[in-house]
Amino acid sequence: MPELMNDIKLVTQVAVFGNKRAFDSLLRKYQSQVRRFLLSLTLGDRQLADDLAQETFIKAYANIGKFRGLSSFSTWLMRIAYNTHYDYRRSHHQTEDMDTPSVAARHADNDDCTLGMDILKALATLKPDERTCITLQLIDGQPIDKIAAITGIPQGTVKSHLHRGKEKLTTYLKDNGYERR
Amino acid sequence: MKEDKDELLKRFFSTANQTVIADEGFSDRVMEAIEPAADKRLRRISRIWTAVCWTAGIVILIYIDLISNIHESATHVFWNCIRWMTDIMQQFDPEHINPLVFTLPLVATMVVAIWCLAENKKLSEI
Repeated sequence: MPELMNDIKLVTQVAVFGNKRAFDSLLRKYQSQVRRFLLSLTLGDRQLADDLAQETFIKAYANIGKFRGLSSFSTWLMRIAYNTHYDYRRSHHQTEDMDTPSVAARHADNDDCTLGMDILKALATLKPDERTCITLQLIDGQPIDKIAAITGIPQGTVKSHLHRGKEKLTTYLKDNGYERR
Repeated sequence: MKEDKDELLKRFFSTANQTVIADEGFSDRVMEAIEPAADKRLRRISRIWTAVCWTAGIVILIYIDLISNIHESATHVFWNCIRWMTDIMQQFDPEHINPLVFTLPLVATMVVAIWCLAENKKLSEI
Protein backbone atom coordinates (compact mmCIF):
# COMPACT_ATOMS: atom_id res chain seq x y z
CA MET A 1 0.00 0.00 0.00
CA PRO A 2 2.74 2.57 0.82
CA GLU A 3 4.37 1.62 -2.49
CA LEU A 4 1.09 2.31 -4.31
CA MET A 5 0.83 5.71 -2.62
CA ASN A 6 4.41 6.46 -3.53
CA ASP A 7 3.65 5.66 -7.19
CA ILE A 8 0.60 7.93 -7.14
CA LYS A 9 2.69 10.71 -5.58
CA LEU A 10 5.30 10.34 -8.33
CA VAL A 11 2.65 10.19 -11.07
CA THR A 12 1.06 13.39 -9.70
CA GLN A 13 4.45 15.09 -9.73
CA VAL A 14 4.89 14.16 -13.39
CA ALA A 15 1.33 14.95 -14.51
CA VAL A 16 0.88 18.25 -12.65
CA PHE A 17 4.37 19.73 -12.46
CA GLY A 18 6.04 17.94 -15.38
CA ASN A 19 8.69 16.73 -12.92
CA LYS A 20 11.09 14.64 -15.02
CA ARG A 21 13.00 13.41 -11.98
CA ALA A 22 9.79 11.79 -10.68
CA PHE A 23 9.31 10.04 -14.02
CA ASP A 24 12.92 8.92 -13.94
CA SER A 25 12.21 7.25 -10.55
CA LEU A 26 9.18 5.43 -12.00
CA LEU A 27 11.20 4.43 -15.05
CA ARG A 28 14.05 2.96 -13.00
CA LYS A 29 11.57 1.14 -10.75
CA TYR A 30 9.62 -0.54 -13.57
CA GLN A 31 12.17 -0.91 -16.39
CA SER A 32 13.08 -4.46 -15.41
CA GLN A 33 9.46 -5.67 -15.20
CA VAL A 34 8.49 -4.10 -18.55
CA ARG A 35 11.62 -5.25 -20.38
CA ARG A 36 11.33 -8.79 -18.98
CA PHE A 37 7.70 -8.96 -20.12
CA LEU A 38 8.55 -7.73 -23.63
CA LEU A 39 11.64 -9.95 -23.80
CA SER A 40 9.37 -12.89 -23.16
CA LEU A 41 6.78 -11.76 -25.76
CA THR A 42 9.48 -11.21 -28.39
CA LEU A 43 11.00 -14.60 -27.55
CA GLY A 44 14.34 -13.21 -26.45
CA ASP A 45 14.90 -10.51 -29.08
CA ARG A 46 16.69 -8.11 -26.74
CA GLN A 47 16.98 -5.24 -29.23
CA LEU A 48 13.31 -5.37 -30.20
CA ALA A 49 12.21 -5.76 -26.56
CA ASP A 50 14.23 -2.69 -25.55
CA ASP A 51 12.89 -0.64 -28.48
CA LEU A 52 9.32 -1.56 -27.53
CA ALA A 53 10.04 -0.86 -23.86
CA GLN A 54 11.39 2.58 -24.78
CA GLU A 55 8.26 3.26 -26.84
CA THR A 56 6.16 2.08 -23.87
CA PHE A 57 7.76 4.56 -21.47
CA ILE A 58 7.55 7.43 -23.98
CA LYS A 59 3.83 6.73 -24.44
CA ALA A 60 3.40 6.51 -20.66
CA TYR A 61 5.09 9.90 -20.23
CA ALA A 62 3.04 11.52 -22.98
CA ASN A 63 -0.25 10.15 -21.64
CA ILE A 64 0.39 10.21 -17.91
CA GLY A 65 -2.38 12.78 -17.48
CA LYS A 66 -4.84 10.11 -18.60
CA PHE A 67 -3.88 7.78 -15.73
CA ARG A 68 -6.91 7.85 -13.43
CA GLY A 69 -5.59 5.57 -10.69
CA LEU A 70 -8.38 3.03 -11.22
CA SER A 71 -5.70 0.35 -11.46
CA SER A 72 -2.15 0.39 -10.12
CA PHE A 73 0.49 2.26 -12.12
CA SER A 74 2.28 -1.01 -12.94
CA THR A 75 -0.93 -2.50 -14.41
CA TRP A 76 -1.45 0.64 -16.49
CA LEU A 77 2.17 0.53 -17.67
CA MET A 78 1.99 -3.17 -18.52
CA ARG A 79 -1.16 -2.52 -20.53
CA ILE A 80 0.71 0.09 -22.58
CA ALA A 81 3.56 -2.42 -23.05
CA TYR A 82 1.11 -5.11 -24.17
CA ASN A 83 -0.60 -2.73 -26.63
CA THR A 84 2.74 -1.51 -27.97
CA HIS A 85 3.81 -5.08 -28.67
CA TYR A 86 0.39 -5.90 -30.14
CA ASP A 87 0.59 -2.90 -32.51
CA TYR A 88 4.13 -3.85 -33.50
CA ARG A 89 3.07 -7.43 -34.27
CA ARG A 90 0.10 -6.26 -36.31
CA SER A 91 2.07 -3.67 -38.29
CA HIS A 92 4.94 -6.04 -39.03
CA HIS A 93 2.70 -9.04 -39.78
CA GLN A 94 4.85 -11.17 -37.53
CA THR A 95 2.05 -13.26 -36.11
CA GLU A 96 3.05 -16.24 -38.20
CA ASP A 97 6.75 -15.82 -37.50
CA MET A 98 6.24 -15.58 -33.77
CA ASP A 99 4.25 -18.76 -33.83
CA THR A 100 6.98 -20.66 -35.60
CA PRO A 101 9.15 -22.49 -33.06
CA SER A 102 12.17 -22.57 -35.37
CA VAL A 103 12.23 -18.78 -35.61
CA ALA A 104 11.72 -18.48 -31.89
CA ALA A 105 14.50 -20.94 -31.23
CA ARG A 106 16.77 -18.87 -33.51
CA HIS A 107 16.00 -15.80 -31.38
CA ALA A 108 16.68 -17.77 -28.27
CA ASP A 109 19.96 -19.10 -29.57
CA ASN A 110 21.30 -15.86 -30.96
CA ASP A 111 20.02 -12.92 -29.02
CA ASP A 112 19.52 -13.13 -25.32
CA CYS A 113 19.85 -15.56 -22.49
CA THR A 114 18.43 -13.37 -19.74
CA LEU A 115 15.31 -15.46 -19.42
CA GLY A 116 17.02 -18.73 -20.20
CA MET A 117 17.03 -20.45 -23.57
CA ASP A 118 14.93 -23.34 -22.29
CA ILE A 119 12.19 -21.00 -21.16
CA LEU A 120 12.19 -19.09 -24.46
CA LYS A 121 12.03 -22.32 -26.44
CA ALA A 122 9.15 -23.51 -24.28
CA LEU A 123 7.32 -20.19 -24.70
CA ALA A 124 7.82 -20.46 -28.46
CA THR A 125 5.50 -23.47 -28.53
CA LEU A 126 2.59 -21.24 -27.44
CA LYS A 127 0.29 -18.95 -29.40
CA PRO A 128 0.81 -15.20 -28.75
CA ASP A 129 -2.21 -14.83 -26.43
CA GLU A 130 -1.29 -17.97 -24.50
CA ARG A 131 2.30 -16.76 -24.23
CA THR A 132 1.15 -13.39 -22.91
CA CYS A 133 -1.10 -14.94 -20.25
CA ILE A 134 1.51 -17.52 -19.22
CA THR A 135 4.24 -14.86 -19.03
CA LEU A 136 2.08 -12.61 -16.90
CA GLN A 137 1.12 -15.41 -14.52
CA LEU A 138 4.18 -17.61 -14.27
CA ILE A 139 6.98 -15.07 -14.79
CA ASP A 140 5.39 -11.86 -13.57
CA GLY A 141 3.19 -13.42 -10.87
CA GLN A 142 0.03 -11.50 -11.85
CA PRO A 143 -3.40 -12.77 -10.74
CA ILE A 144 -6.08 -13.52 -13.36
CA ASP A 145 -8.00 -10.26 -12.87
CA LYS A 146 -4.82 -8.24 -13.44
CA ILE A 147 -3.98 -10.28 -16.56
CA ALA A 148 -7.45 -9.49 -17.87
CA ALA A 149 -6.95 -5.78 -17.07
CA ILE A 150 -3.56 -5.69 -18.81
CA THR A 151 -4.58 -7.55 -21.96
CA GLY A 152 -8.22 -6.45 -22.19
CA ILE A 153 -9.17 -10.12 -22.59
CA PRO A 154 -12.17 -11.35 -20.55
CA GLN A 155 -11.24 -13.36 -17.43
CA GLY A 156 -12.86 -16.55 -18.78
CA THR A 157 -10.76 -16.36 -21.95
CA VAL A 158 -7.64 -15.69 -19.87
CA LYS A 159 -8.35 -18.88 -17.91
CA SER A 160 -8.74 -20.82 -21.17
CA HIS A 161 -5.45 -19.44 -22.53
CA LEU A 162 -3.72 -20.34 -19.27
CA HIS A 163 -5.17 -23.84 -19.27
CA ARG A 164 -4.19 -24.54 -22.89
CA GLY A 165 -0.79 -22.91 -22.42
CA LYS A 166 -0.01 -24.97 -19.35
CA GLU A 167 -1.08 -28.17 -21.13
CA LYS A 168 1.26 -27.41 -24.03
CA LEU A 169 4.12 -26.45 -21.72
CA THR A 170 3.72 -29.58 -19.60
CA THR A 171 3.77 -31.75 -22.71
CA TYR A 172 6.86 -29.91 -23.97
CA LEU A 173 8.64 -30.27 -20.64
CA LYS A 174 7.77 -33.96 -20.36
CA ASP A 175 8.89 -34.59 -23.95
CA ASN A 176 12.19 -32.92 -23.17
CA GLY A 177 12.81 -34.81 -19.98
CA TYR A 178 12.25 -31.95 -17.50
CA GLU A 179 9.88 -34.04 -15.37
CA ARG A 180 12.72 -36.25 -14.18
CA ARG A 181 15.05 -33.36 -13.19
CA MET B 1 -2.05 -34.61 -11.23
CA LYS B 2 -2.88 -30.90 -11.57
CA GLU B 3 -0.63 -30.15 -8.58
CA ASP B 4 2.21 -32.05 -10.25
CA LYS B 5 1.74 -30.05 -13.42
CA ASP B 6 1.64 -26.74 -11.56
CA GLU B 7 4.66 -27.72 -9.49
CA LEU B 8 6.61 -28.65 -12.62
CA LEU B 9 5.77 -25.33 -14.30
CA LYS B 10 6.50 -23.37 -11.14
CA ARG B 11 9.90 -25.05 -10.86
CA PHE B 12 10.62 -24.47 -14.56
CA PHE B 13 9.80 -20.75 -14.42
CA SER B 14 11.33 -20.12 -10.98
CA THR B 15 14.56 -18.70 -12.42
CA ALA B 16 12.72 -16.41 -14.85
CA ASN B 17 10.48 -14.76 -12.30
CA GLN B 18 13.47 -13.82 -10.17
CA THR B 19 15.35 -12.35 -13.10
CA VAL B 20 16.07 -8.65 -12.68
CA ILE B 21 17.18 -7.01 -15.89
CA ALA B 22 20.06 -4.61 -15.23
CA ASP B 23 19.39 -1.05 -16.34
CA GLU B 24 22.65 -0.66 -18.31
CA GLY B 25 21.82 2.87 -19.46
CA PHE B 26 18.31 2.02 -20.61
CA SER B 27 16.65 4.62 -18.35
CA ASP B 28 19.05 7.34 -19.50
CA ARG B 29 18.32 6.53 -23.15
CA VAL B 30 14.56 6.73 -22.49
CA MET B 31 14.92 10.06 -20.67
CA GLU B 32 16.93 11.43 -23.59
CA ALA B 33 14.25 10.29 -26.03
CA ILE B 34 11.46 11.72 -23.88
CA GLU B 35 12.71 15.32 -24.13
CA PRO B 36 12.15 15.84 -27.88
CA ALA B 37 8.93 13.83 -27.85
CA ALA B 38 7.48 15.98 -25.07
CA ASP B 39 8.70 19.20 -26.72
CA LYS B 40 7.14 18.16 -30.02
CA ARG B 41 3.83 17.48 -28.31
CA LEU B 42 3.90 20.82 -26.47
CA ARG B 43 4.76 22.68 -29.69
CA ARG B 44 1.85 21.01 -31.47
CA ILE B 45 -0.59 21.87 -28.65
CA SER B 46 0.72 25.45 -28.54
CA ARG B 47 0.33 25.83 -32.33
CA ILE B 48 -3.25 24.49 -32.24
CA TRP B 49 -4.10 26.76 -29.30
CA THR B 50 -2.67 29.84 -31.05
CA ALA B 51 -4.62 29.05 -34.23
CA VAL B 52 -7.85 28.58 -32.25
CA CYS B 53 -7.36 31.90 -30.41
CA TRP B 54 -6.62 33.81 -33.62
CA THR B 55 -9.63 32.33 -35.37
CA ALA B 56 -11.91 33.05 -32.41
CA GLY B 57 -10.59 36.61 -32.16
CA ILE B 58 -11.10 37.34 -35.86
CA VAL B 59 -14.62 35.84 -35.83
CA ILE B 60 -15.59 37.92 -32.78
CA LEU B 61 -14.15 41.09 -34.33
CA ILE B 62 -16.07 40.61 -37.55
CA TYR B 63 -19.24 39.48 -35.81
CA ILE B 64 -19.69 42.46 -33.52
CA ASP B 65 -18.12 44.99 -35.91
CA LEU B 66 -15.54 46.04 -33.38
CA ILE B 67 -12.88 47.13 -35.83
CA SER B 68 -14.30 50.62 -36.44
CA ASN B 69 -14.98 51.09 -32.69
CA ILE B 70 -11.49 49.95 -31.77
CA HIS B 71 -9.97 52.28 -34.35
CA GLU B 72 -11.89 55.23 -32.91
CA SER B 73 -11.02 54.34 -29.28
CA ALA B 74 -7.38 53.70 -30.10
CA THR B 75 -7.05 57.09 -31.83
CA HIS B 76 -8.67 58.73 -28.82
CA VAL B 77 -6.38 56.93 -26.34
CA PHE B 78 -3.29 57.67 -28.45
CA TRP B 79 -3.90 61.43 -28.58
CA ASN B 80 -4.77 61.49 -24.86
CA CYS B 81 -1.48 59.78 -24.07
CA ILE B 82 0.46 62.26 -26.19
CA ARG B 83 -1.28 65.13 -24.44
CA TRP B 84 -0.63 63.59 -21.03
CA MET B 85 3.05 63.03 -21.78
CA THR B 86 3.46 66.58 -23.05
CA ASP B 87 1.91 67.90 -19.82
CA ILE B 88 4.24 65.78 -17.72
CA MET B 89 7.29 66.90 -19.69
CA GLN B 90 6.31 70.50 -19.16
CA GLN B 91 5.93 70.00 -15.41
CA PHE B 92 9.03 67.84 -15.05
CA ASP B 93 11.49 69.18 -12.49
CA PRO B 94 14.24 66.68 -11.57
CA GLU B 95 15.25 68.56 -8.43
CA HIS B 96 11.91 67.92 -6.76
CA ILE B 97 11.70 64.18 -7.48
CA ASN B 98 12.55 61.66 -4.74
CA PRO B 99 15.46 59.42 -5.91
CA LEU B 100 13.56 56.41 -4.53
CA VAL B 101 11.09 56.73 -7.40
CA PHE B 102 13.87 55.51 -9.73
CA THR B 103 15.87 53.35 -7.32
CA LEU B 104 13.07 51.16 -5.98
CA PRO B 105 11.73 49.91 -9.36
CA LEU B 106 15.32 49.30 -10.48
CA VAL B 107 16.11 47.22 -7.37
CA ALA B 108 12.79 45.35 -7.64
CA THR B 109 13.48 44.51 -11.31
CA MET B 110 16.96 43.25 -10.45
CA VAL B 111 15.64 41.06 -7.59
CA VAL B 112 12.97 39.53 -9.86
CA ALA B 113 15.54 38.92 -12.62
CA ILE B 114 17.94 37.17 -10.22
CA TRP B 115 15.09 35.05 -8.83
CA CYS B 116 14.02 34.04 -12.38
CA LEU B 117 17.59 33.06 -13.26
CA ALA B 118 17.89 30.96 -10.07
CA GLU B 119 14.57 29.20 -10.80
CA ASN B 120 15.64 28.48 -14.40
CA LYS B 121 18.91 27.03 -13.16
CA LYS B 122 17.03 24.83 -10.67
CA LEU B 123 14.67 23.58 -13.40
CA SER B 124 17.49 22.83 -15.79
CA GLU B 125 19.17 20.72 -13.10
CA ILE B 126 16.10 18.49 -12.67
